[in-house]
Amino acid sequence: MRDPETDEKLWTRIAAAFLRAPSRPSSLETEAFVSKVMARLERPAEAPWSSAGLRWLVPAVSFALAVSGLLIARPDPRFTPPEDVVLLAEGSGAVPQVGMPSTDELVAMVMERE
Amino acid sequence: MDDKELVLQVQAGEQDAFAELVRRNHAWVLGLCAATLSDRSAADDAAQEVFLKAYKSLPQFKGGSSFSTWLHRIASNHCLDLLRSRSRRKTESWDELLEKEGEHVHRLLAAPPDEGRSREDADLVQRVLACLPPDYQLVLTLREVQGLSYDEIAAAMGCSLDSVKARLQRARRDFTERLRHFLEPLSV
Repeated sequence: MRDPETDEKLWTRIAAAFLRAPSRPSSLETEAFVSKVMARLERPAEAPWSSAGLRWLVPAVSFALAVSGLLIARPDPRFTPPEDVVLLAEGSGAVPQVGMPSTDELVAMVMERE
Repeated sequence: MDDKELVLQVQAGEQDAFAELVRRNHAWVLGLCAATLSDRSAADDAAQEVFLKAYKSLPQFKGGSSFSTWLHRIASNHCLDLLRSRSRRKTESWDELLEKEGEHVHRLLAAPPDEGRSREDADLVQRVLACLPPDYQLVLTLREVQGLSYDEIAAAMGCSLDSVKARLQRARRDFTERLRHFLEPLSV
């Protein structure tokens, strides 16, 4: 059976050896600490791309988006209108384009003019 | 001006009032961090984090308790998180520590309470404390180092008074048992 009084004495010794209060900071240390904390509060919240290392990212991304937009909007250069449409259009001054009337409609238009 | 008025000023947007709250509470927040962490630099960083967390949460502070009790809660939670994260990375067991440093532990226990400490002594103290479970380290620090009452510890740890008493008793018993064979020859 353990004696509570002995345990209390043992505990006092342990606390003195291992649970001592650290030294108090000086007033100078406290002022330096206050400045550090306040400086961190005052720093405005920066957007991640505003740091110097990522500053190039905004124009680069804008350029990439613009180029992608142009590529998507440009008509497919591999598309050529059928030969008969070109031949029929030659005499009339009509320019074959994508989205123009169908071949039959063009033939009808040329025949009408003749 | 009391803490309550300063808190109201900060909540109204007067940031400078927070500097005074930091100034008034710096010593004990740093003391708590220094007692639970190994070095002063890590403790200083942790103390800054505590105040930054407090500043961010201040708009939600309703004044149900005193500012220092509320800050104790934030500081205790922050230290407990750091202790848990350190405990997960810990590689040295109690037995290994005693095998390597048994003589040094014995010397620390035998030294007079007011004797100065070397850097090696302070390092050993931290290694010994790091072998205790994180919540034991925190409750012992709040009680023995910070000198908080049971009520204040209950508020800081967010638990009941009975839970604080039980935890403190278990922590003391655990620590005493670990060191008993060093202590009994000293007490004879």
